[in-house]
Amino acid sequence: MSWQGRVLRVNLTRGDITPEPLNMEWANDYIGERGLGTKYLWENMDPKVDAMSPDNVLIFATGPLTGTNASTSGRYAVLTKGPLTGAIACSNSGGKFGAELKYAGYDLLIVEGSSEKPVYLLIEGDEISLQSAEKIWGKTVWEADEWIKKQHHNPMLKIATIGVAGERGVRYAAIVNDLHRAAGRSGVGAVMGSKNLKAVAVRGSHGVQVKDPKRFIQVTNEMKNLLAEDAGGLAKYGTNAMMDTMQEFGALPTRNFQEVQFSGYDKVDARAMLKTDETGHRNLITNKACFGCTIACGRIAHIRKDHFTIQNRKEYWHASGGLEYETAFAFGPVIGVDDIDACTFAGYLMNEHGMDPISFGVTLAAAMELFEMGVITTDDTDGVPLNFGSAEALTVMSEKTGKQEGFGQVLGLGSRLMCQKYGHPELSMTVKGQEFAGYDSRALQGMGLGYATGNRGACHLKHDTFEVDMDDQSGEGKAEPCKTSQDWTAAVDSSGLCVFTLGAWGAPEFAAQLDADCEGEWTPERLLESGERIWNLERLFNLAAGLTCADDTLPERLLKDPVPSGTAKGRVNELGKMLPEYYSLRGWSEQGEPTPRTLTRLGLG
Amino acid sequence: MQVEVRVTGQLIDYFSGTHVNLDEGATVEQALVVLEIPAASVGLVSVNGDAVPREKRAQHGLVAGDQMVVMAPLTGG
Repeated sequence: MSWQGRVLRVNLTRGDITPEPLNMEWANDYIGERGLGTKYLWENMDPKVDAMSPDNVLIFATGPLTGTNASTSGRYAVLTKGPLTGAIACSNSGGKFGAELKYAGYDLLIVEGSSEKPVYLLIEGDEISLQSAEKIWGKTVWEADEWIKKQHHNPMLKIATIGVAGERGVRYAAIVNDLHRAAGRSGVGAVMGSKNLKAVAVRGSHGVQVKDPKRFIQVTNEMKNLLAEDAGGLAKYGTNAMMDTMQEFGALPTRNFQEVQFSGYDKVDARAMLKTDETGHRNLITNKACFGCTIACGRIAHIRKDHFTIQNRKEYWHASGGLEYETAFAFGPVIGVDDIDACTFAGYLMNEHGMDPISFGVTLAAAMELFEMGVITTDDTDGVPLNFGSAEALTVMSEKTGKQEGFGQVLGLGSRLMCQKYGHPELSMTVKGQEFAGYDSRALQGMGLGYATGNRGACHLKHDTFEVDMDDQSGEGKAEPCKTSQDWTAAVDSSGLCVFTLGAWGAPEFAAQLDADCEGEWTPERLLESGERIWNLERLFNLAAGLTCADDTLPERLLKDPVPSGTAKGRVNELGKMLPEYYSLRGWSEQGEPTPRTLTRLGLG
Repeated sequence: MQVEVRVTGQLIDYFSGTHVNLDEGATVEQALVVLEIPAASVGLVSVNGDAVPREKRAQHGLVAGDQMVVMAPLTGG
């Protein structure tokens, strides 16, 4: 079996480090990673606690396929109560850290309490200790990563760390691992900072074992072949290949969702990244894979050395993580910027300081709208004009927010609190306080339903209605694919593999790999039922935290203002029609609460 | 007749031109065959800004000067 069978519990208040056996009954019902982490969170904390208090619990969770020979097996998830939303936060990441945690012999790392002084957790083989982080408190992600490796003379350590944004409570602070990959959403990095935990550094010395090695190798090789046939151009173009599709479709959120098409899209899309300019500079250097991945969608890019952002700053003259679709959207169309070097630099800053680019970009978009309305002025913004289209505003505010200086402290609140502060909550493009990704839900109706019902707030990765949304722009028939794909994605997120395989693999392909990996019989039906159980447990967490059906909604702009252009011109999101059907399909009451019958059916009663 | 064509995303690997010559009365489905873009690789086709749903590709006739956009499927990012 590919569960290691062990959990590492660290209580920072007491300084205790305690290994304990994995609850295999829970593993069988919740698989691993997102699902198993949710179960442990539910059993280990009161959902009502303040997200930034020591009573919140922070869990790093791997899946049974993490660290195996399966393609894309580098995934891990971070679970906690999110400070951005007050809801459950489940943020997953790739890179190499997750597999290394598994190789250290642990399926989950549970962090409780809060340290009196800054510390980092060091796991080197079977030696585990809390180390003083006072010398790296206040340092960036990149500085902390380098310092820890030098301190322990171990360049092979895999490190997940926070920057100053996490230390100082930016509500969308990320946990960045392996320099460029991040558990980015919902503010998991702020929770880590509230615990005075700067980093987790891991070097494992154990392997993983699977149930049937011969069958596992055979099945995973077959799956890799399927991926090779249908990876959708991700290696060559990356996820930013979607930018021009979103433009033509008319679902590309522009200038804080006032428009859905952006005239400068082709200056920040995948083709622009591949274009060599008059000086011979090309933004994209190469692609990069996470652990075990045969897709390799990651981007490694660099910025023109004469660009205003880095002209005299040699520390940024190196190659680093490049634009993916969400970062390109968040630093491009949604704030009206078409400067690819500025967008790339902002991406560097997000990784360096540890912040979620989606939430930052959409918060800045709301600030720009407030500025253009005259609600805020340069007196509020440290003298920087926050006009839509300003590349300078993007890069200056990225840095100020990362360092928590000046107006960056306001931007660090996130869009909801910032817009409330200035008396215009309607300008916040969020669900449950979390900012939208790069898809307008007036053109993509099922996406809107998925956003509204997302357990971690607005999120594009926890359901998949793209195909039905492209084919039919009405709200008809969207509840069922939204519900089913939410359940299915919950199962995939719990396996240890990446959702970017879903173009090539369906339930039978995942079940075949898990069945060769894990004890027991793993069928597509069992996976879907597990996914539904996980989704409902997340919902129970949120209800216990105080959220209600009133939180399953969208901003008025998307419900009342018709989309101005594109293939869905004239439409608004039809949430009022879709939501009752969705609740009914879920077996929930009209108030959005799972009925006793539903809970019993899923073993949650 | 000549129809203006734009493709998006990774579909540029199939067609990187700007126009295609088709028989009079050709449908969207026939145009995709001429362009050698597999139907399963297409997310949506629009003609003159209006969506042409998958089930209508075989019926939707094109006329000279139409602007056809062949969009790659969306996958999340």
